[in-house]
Order: sequence, then C-alpha cells, then structure tokens
Amino acid sequence: MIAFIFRRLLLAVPVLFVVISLTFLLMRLTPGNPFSADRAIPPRILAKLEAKHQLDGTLWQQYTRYIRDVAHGNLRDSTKYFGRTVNEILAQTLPVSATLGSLAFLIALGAGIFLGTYAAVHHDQAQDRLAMLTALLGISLPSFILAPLLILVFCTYVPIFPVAGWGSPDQIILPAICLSLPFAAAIARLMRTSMLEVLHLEFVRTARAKGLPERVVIYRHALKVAILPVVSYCGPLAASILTGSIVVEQIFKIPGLGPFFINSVLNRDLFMVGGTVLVYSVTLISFNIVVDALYFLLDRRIKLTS
Amino acid sequence: MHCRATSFVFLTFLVGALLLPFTGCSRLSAPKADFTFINGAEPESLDPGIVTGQPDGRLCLALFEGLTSRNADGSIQPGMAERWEISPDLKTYTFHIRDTQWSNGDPVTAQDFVRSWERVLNPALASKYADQLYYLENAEAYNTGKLTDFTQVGVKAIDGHTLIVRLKNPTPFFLDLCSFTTLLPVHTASIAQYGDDWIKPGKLISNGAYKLAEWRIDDHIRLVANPHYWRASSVHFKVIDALPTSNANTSFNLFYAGKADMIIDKGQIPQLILNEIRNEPYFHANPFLATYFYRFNVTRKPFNDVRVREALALALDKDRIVTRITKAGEKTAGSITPPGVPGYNPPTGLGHNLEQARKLLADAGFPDGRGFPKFSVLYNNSELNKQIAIEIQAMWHDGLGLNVDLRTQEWKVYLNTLDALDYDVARSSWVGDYNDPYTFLGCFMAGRGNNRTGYANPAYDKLLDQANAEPDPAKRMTLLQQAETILVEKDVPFVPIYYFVGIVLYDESKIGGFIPNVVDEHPLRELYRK
Amino acid sequence: MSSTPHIFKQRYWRDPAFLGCVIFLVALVVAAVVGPHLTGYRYDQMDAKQFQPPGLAHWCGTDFLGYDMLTRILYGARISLLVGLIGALVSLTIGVTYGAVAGYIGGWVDNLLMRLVDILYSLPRIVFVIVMVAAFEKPGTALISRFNLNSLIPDVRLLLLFIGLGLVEWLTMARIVRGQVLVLKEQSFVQAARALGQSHFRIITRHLLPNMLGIILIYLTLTIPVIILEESFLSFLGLGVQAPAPSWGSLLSESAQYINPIRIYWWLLVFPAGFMAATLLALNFVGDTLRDAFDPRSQKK
Repeated sequence: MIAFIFRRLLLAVPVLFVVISLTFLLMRLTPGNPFSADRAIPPRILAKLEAKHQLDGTLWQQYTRYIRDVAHGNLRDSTKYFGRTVNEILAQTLPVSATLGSLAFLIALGAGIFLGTYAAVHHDQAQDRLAMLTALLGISLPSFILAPLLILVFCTYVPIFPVAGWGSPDQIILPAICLSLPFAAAIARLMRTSMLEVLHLEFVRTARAKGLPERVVIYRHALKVAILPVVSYCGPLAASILTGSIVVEQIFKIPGLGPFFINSVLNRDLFMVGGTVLVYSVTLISFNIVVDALYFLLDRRIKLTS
Repeated sequence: MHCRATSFVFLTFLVGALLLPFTGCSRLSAPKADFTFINGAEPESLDPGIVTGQPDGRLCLALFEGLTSRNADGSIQPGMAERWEISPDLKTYTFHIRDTQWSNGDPVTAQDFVRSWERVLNPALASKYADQLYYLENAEAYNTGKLTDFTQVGVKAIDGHTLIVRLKNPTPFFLDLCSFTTLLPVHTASIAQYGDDWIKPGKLISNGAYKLAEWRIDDHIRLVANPHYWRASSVHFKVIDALPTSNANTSFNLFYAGKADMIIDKGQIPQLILNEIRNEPYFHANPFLATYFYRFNVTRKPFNDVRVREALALALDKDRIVTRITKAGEKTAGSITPPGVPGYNPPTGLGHNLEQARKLLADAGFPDGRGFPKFSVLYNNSELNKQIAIEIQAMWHDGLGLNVDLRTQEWKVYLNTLDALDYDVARSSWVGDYNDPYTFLGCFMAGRGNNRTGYANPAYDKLLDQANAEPDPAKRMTLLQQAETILVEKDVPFVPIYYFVGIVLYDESKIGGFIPNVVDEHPLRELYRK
Repeated sequence: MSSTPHIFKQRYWRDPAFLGCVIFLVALVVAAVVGPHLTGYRYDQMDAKQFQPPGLAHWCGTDFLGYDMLTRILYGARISLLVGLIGALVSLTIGVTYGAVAGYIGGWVDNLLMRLVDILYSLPRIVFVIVMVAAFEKPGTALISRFNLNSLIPDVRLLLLFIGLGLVEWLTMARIVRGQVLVLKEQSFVQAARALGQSHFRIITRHLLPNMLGIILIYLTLTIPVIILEESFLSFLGLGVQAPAPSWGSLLSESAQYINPIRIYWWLLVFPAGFMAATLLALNFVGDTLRDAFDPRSQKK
C-alpha cells in the first residue's frame, strides 16, 4: 500500500512536467499578446516588457528558462498584475477557494450519497421519484442561475444572508450550497444506480439471508461496494471543487482562485495560467491516488496493480 | 477490522479535503470604513507610471497628487505646485512646489518630479503611457533610447521648490496633463529599496490625500487619510474601502443592500435594468470624453471606396441604438471628439439619410446592394457590443440590402485582428486621456499605432501638425476642427455612433461632493457624508 | 440478450411515463427542426417592442431586442441538442473504450493510459477551444467557400466548438468505466469466462459492458447537461455560437443577467429553463428505463 502510494507520487513528477510544458507551449501558440491593450503599445515597449518577463528569444529558450524556474519553485510574475508573483496570488486566493470548496464537497458527498441510497432503497416508489426529481432540478439549474436566484430570495426578499463578500461564517453558506448542488445531484444519481446494481449481488443477498437488519445490510455492506463509481467521480470532482469556481466566486464576490482559471487564459497571463494548471493538476493527482487507494480498501477483490 | 480501516481511510479522505482551509480566513476584525465604493476590475497596479485602467487610475489619484490636481467639478487647480509661471512663447513652465511632505514625513521636492518623470521615460520601466510626457523637449528621444543623457530632457529642478519644464510645442492642455496619472510623483527612494513590491501596503509611500492600508486581491483595498497631506483637514472620509467586482449584478446587489455607498464604474451597473433605474434618485449620469464607433478597414475592398463608407455611415439610425439599447441617456455621435471640450465645436458629421446612402452605394457600383460581397462586423465579446452589432447588421441588411455576418472574438484575439487589419468593419471605442480634441484626432494620423484602419491622408496630418505648432488657442481649435471635418465628413475611415455617459449610483441625500464633469473624474477627497 | 427486445416491448411501452418522455423528446426534435419556420418569426427578426410578456402574438414573450422567445428557444434546441448528442457520443465511444481497455489490461498499460487522462484533464480546456478556433477557423472557412457552401460558414466555428468540447468530455467517463472494470473483472463470473478461455473482446463486450450499462447510461445523461452548459459558457466568452443565433445555454446565461431586485422579466427565465429541465427530465427517465430494460439481472425476475 505504502509502496503503491510512493510509486504513484513518483509518477506524478513526469505527469506534472508534461502538463506544465504543454500548457506553456499551448499558451505561446495561442494568438494574442499578454501585454496588448486597447491603446496600442509601441513595439519597443512591447519588446521591453517581453524581455522583463523572459519572453524574448526563441520559444525553446523561453521554455527551458521557464521550466528551470518552475523546478525551483518560482512560478514567475503575473503579466497582468504588475509586481505580483504567481506564488503570491496563489497563496492569497487558494486557501479561500479551498475553504469554500471543502465545505461544498462535504455537502455534495453527504447529500448525494444519502439521497441516492434512499432512492435506491425505495426503488420505483414515490420517495424514489421525488428524490430523483430533486436531483434533476439540481442538474438542470446551472449555478449561474441558481446563485442569483438564491441571492434574490435569501438576501433581498428575506434578508437572512449577506448578498456577497467573504470573511464571516454566514457568508459561506449560500455559495457553498450553490457550489455543491449540481455535484450533489450528480452523486445522488450515480449512487442510486450503483446501489440498485449492488443490491442484486450475491453478497448482499447472503447478508440478508443471514437475517441482518436491512439498515446494516445497506449501510455496512452494500454501500461499501456501491460507492465505488462515486469514488471514481470524486477524484476530478474534488480537484475542480477545491480549486474554485469562476461563476460562484464572481457572483458572491469571493476572493478565490476560481476566476483566475478562465481570466488568466483570456488575459494571456501565461505564468498565472501555469500556476493555476499546476495547482489543479497537483490536486487532481493527489485525489486520484486517494481514490485508487480507497478502491483497494473498499473492495478487497481489486488487486493493486503497478 | 477491515471495516474500521475502511472508514478510517474514508475519514482521512474527507478530512484531507479540509486540510488547506482555515488558514484562509481573512479580516473579521477590521472596523467598517467611512465610505465604501465599487471600483470595477481588480487594479493591475497602483504604480502611477504603470497603470492604464480607470479603476487603477482612480486609486492612484487618491494616493498621489501631481503638480496640479482636479476639483470635484473636474477643473484644474494647484496641487503640489502652489503656483506657476508660463513663458510668453507658451513653451516654458516654472512650477513652485509647495512646502509639504510625503506620507512618511519626507519633504516633497522638485527633484521628486524630475526623478519620477525620468523613471517613466526610462525605457527600462517600459511604461505603456510614457508618451504622455512626449510633450517635453527631448522626452521622446530619451524614451526611445536615441538619447541617453536625461539632463537634456526638458525638466529641471532649480532648487528644492522650483521646477522648470520646457515643452516642444505650446501645449494648451499641459496643466491638465500635469494631473494625469503618468505624471504623478512617486517616492523613488522606497522604489529603490523595495523594487516592484513598493506598491504593497506598508511599503507604499504617497503624497496624496490617502495612504494605502490594506490590499487583498479581489476582496478590497483600504485607503486611510494621509495626515501629511497639505490639506489633510479638508479630507472628509478618513477610511475608504474600494471593492473590486467583476459581476454587474453583484455590484448592484451590494449597492442595493447598502453594503456599498457608491458604484463609480459604469461597467458595474447592469445594462438591462438601466431603463428601470434611470429615474431613481440614486441614478446619476453625465456625458464624458469617450466615443463608441465603428471602424472601416480602408485597405480592403470595397471599403477602400469612400462612397461605400459614406453610404454605410448614412444608413445607420443611431437614435435607435441609444433609445433601444444603451438607454442611459447617451447622445448620438457625429464626430469622434465628444462635445464639452472648452473652445471646441466638433463637426456635425454625417446624419441618417437612407436615400442618399442608397444613391452612394449605387454610384459605387452596388445598386440595391447587388454584387456587394458578404462582409463581417468584428466585435469583442460583450452583451452590449453584441446587441449593437445585431442592430447595425439589421440596419445595413434592411436599409441597403447588404449581407453582414457577425464575428465575435475574445479581447486579446480581437486586438490582434485590429492591429493586423484583418477585418472589414470593427467595433471600437476611445476614451480621452485629457480634455482636448487631440487625444482623439491624433490616433488617426498615418502610421499611428491607434489608427487601426489603414487610413492615411497627408492633408489631415498636416493640419494636425499646424495645430500643434499654433500658439494661439483659438486658431489651434479651428485647425483641429478643420481636420476633424475631413475625418468624419469627407474620408469617413470610421463612423461615430454615440458618446458615452458615465453612470454613478449613490444616494444624493447621504453623500455630497460629487459633481458630474466631462473628464469623469471624481476625487475621493472631495466626497463627504451629509 | 436475445430476448431483450421482446421483454422490452411488453414491459416498457405500456408505461405511460416512459411513453410520454419518448413522445416529448421526439416532438422536441421535430419542433427544433421545423418549429422555427412555423412560429411566424425568424430567430433574428426584431419586433419594435422589447420585453413583451407572453401573449397571443408572442407565446413566450419577446426579449431585450424584441426577438420572439419561442422561435429562439426552438432554434436554440437545434444547437444545444446537437452539442449534447455529439458530446455524449464522444464520451460513449472514446471514454468507454479507453476506460474498459485500461481497466481490463491493467498493469503498466493502465497506469500509462490513466496518467494520460490526468494530463489531458489538467490542461485548461478553454485554451484548446481558443487555439482550435484561432488555428482552424480561417482555413475551415476558406475550404467551405471553395466548395461554394457559403451558407455554412457560420457553422465552422460551431464545428470547431464541438471538436473542442468533445476532446475533453470523455475523460471522466473513462475513469469511471476503468474503475468499474477493475471491480468486475475480479468477480467470479468473469473469472469463470476467463477460465473457459473466452476471448478478451468477448469478455469485455459480453460480460463487462452489460454489467456497467447502468452506470454508463447514468453518467451519459449527466454529461449532456454539462456539455450544454459548457457551450453556453464558451458562447458567453465569444468562442461559441455566433450572434444572433441562439442556443439554450446562451438564452439561459442571458436570462441570468435579468435576475435582480428591481425587475424580473420572468418569461425570459422560465421558458428556456423550463424547456431545458423538461428535456433533461425526459432524457434521464428514458435513460433509467433503458437501464432497467437492458440490465442482465432484471431479466431474471
């Protein structure tokens, strides 16, 4: 087990290397200059700015210099936010997104697993239909509509929560709900289907035959196997939910990392793009390792290969 | 046993998700500011030599003060210079710096200005706005590297309190320019000490009404009154929070819920509810120096034919655009220079005349639009640009029988396309840097970076050169007006559509000191609570 | 498996809910194809009066520019359904094959294939789309005009968008399928098939895939709304559908901007969201029913 995790961590290094290289090269191939603006910039000044950010010379030179800096933990300066290093921006914004994201992740996981199991147990009954209808609403109501609606209802009509901002505990509730809802709904649907299949399996039937109470059968035995597709889904989910969402963070004015994923690309702020991609990639890889380890522990029948 | 191990790992998984947080909780304790306003996008910098955006500029002007400064009504008044003399040929200015200090107690000196301007002009800084100092003798040569000796540039400190500025040409708007962000003084000693980090709280030393207290990315910037400011006693709000926002509805919600006293950025007011809120007491609109227009690529067929350009311009019903779409009381535009520059009467330009447009199009060889190639309108993506483009597409189609495609591009690609002249017709806008027609007209001289139409007319360039050399302000304005008439009535490399209005939301019964003005500058130090 | 169609007929066509959903989806597709011609308006035809509430002239009201909402919703259905369909197909073919192969072979192949997924997953997909549009829009347009298909030029961008979205939509599916295969291949019936010397292909298609059909179908129905909304986001950035053509996603993201404390034009929100929700509901229900119908175990009942 330890050896498995160690090997996977070792493998993460080449993966990160490829990711960061491809990101840099793609960004350099993308049309549009990091420094261009509404007001035209004289070519001389453009050249100076490029030199300042080490974007002069051939693409190969730019690339090797960048990789060397990244290897030393220097993610360089943002080309948009003057005098801000990417490390500094990440240090300020990532903890905010991670706080919000982990709460949303817990809500999504808790609500999704419960709702899905509940629906599966009451298969084809009214409870099942109702639970799945709720889940479906969660999927078809995108957060860019849900968020303003929630704000309208809970901040304007019935002012319980503050409209936006970050810093006090009551400011985290609405955004966390908005962020978690579509994922909770997706988990519920995956969970229900998977649980329905597992409830047919021999070992569940055996457990029932042994006369174990239904609750124990479902939550002790069946859930452990049925949760596997959800666990698969959770790797990428955790990575995207913990690193922030542009929609939710902009609408609730939360100073997180989410908007940087899109805006840095639009601004051609290429080192910031590199930083966000790196953060995302590291989170994703870590959670995928956790997911694969969980697979092993949840279902002994899987052999850890590689 | 197996079961327990499982739940243990599962718990680790959940707790792992909670690992990072709780380091990220920010200010809970900070006292409420006296005044909170929505400032627009997150500032890219607070370095006066670097900034280009309006939200950044607004904060720079609160932190720093130039030789001159602006009143609440936008007029120019003495700033760091308590008085000045202008030579008879209008080319030499002698500024007398007042006895005042930086926020750390250092005296403000004439040398501070020399060093600050040298810094902006130094090619090493790569300031995008360095050309705002090109009016000085030899400044351009120094900035472009043709001259390495800064003492030959037209700025000199005679002693700590006397600054002499020599200009290339009589520049009637120079005092205006002295209040502009690029010409603001900076504390060069602290820049030498901290490098690029000097703009951070705790390091930034300013000479204006405010000091920088806090700056959290995408969260807030807090300004506190600077006790060393020369008229500190007249500054009303002691603590100001500037909120960066990127979503107009969020900004409006914050304002509506009373969490912000003012929305000062037009982009942060939802376009779609302008109709509903324009009669509210908190709605304030004022015209300012900015124009929305459509460029023609004059290097491309058939737009190289002036009759075609004129026909397309005449076919536009601009009234329909301002009444149906923009809705904030914008005026339709005939010229690129908006009205409101003192002493300048912009030409009326081309109006709406479909008959004549059809006739011109027929003369150009396209009767009823027959044979006219399909072309596209390029715009950078935004809801407003899209709606205007759709209206214009319909006008050209229904009025002239032309087939028009719409082509959106995201901002940076759009800029590339403009610079490469790889478009047929493109949406654009221009905001004046100072209160003078030249800030608009200079763009369209042959070969200028901001020309972006391929337009070149030696007669036009000559008129502008003459105007620059003209010492008599009235004659100068006449020359500029002649030039602009060529531009918007004869050559038509673009068609002006409307003049922007600045929109500000605030409760008039609570906040005072805000006066609408054509330069759309509203010093924070003048604001007070009633 | 051979008896499935028979069972399917008997059990499911009599279910009024299933029948209703199928009829709704078919009607929607028909309406999307012919509807915009029948409403009496073009999708880009402006009415002088903006923001008309629903009435006899405009069943679903008009929007900011005076466009007929019903026409736009039906026209938008074309693009959104197509995007969803293509995304689902890519997810199904590439994702399932890739995941099944990785999980089944296991070992270093699995490891390599999954690390490749990690890499693709980490790259910002918006960059893909930008690069794609920038690099291929011009050549694509040139190619089409060479064949005198000028009316198709606006669709070049759309095609590139489809490709860009499709390129990344299969990744999660691959991970889920691979995870399921890891579980299933250790189960007794697969071991038995192996012991009997059945070919790998046969084991995957006959034993593994049928047992994962439920999860695959469910995840597929989850992917479709994600892709439809993704398209709206890219359109919002100016990378997707060219104005004035609508899509459901762009209609929804426009309507989101109308949610404010001052005034809400409810019909701009309710109708597009209603159509979208109803479609997703029907799709999910059909998906669930199909899952039950093709479930190898439920036949044993």
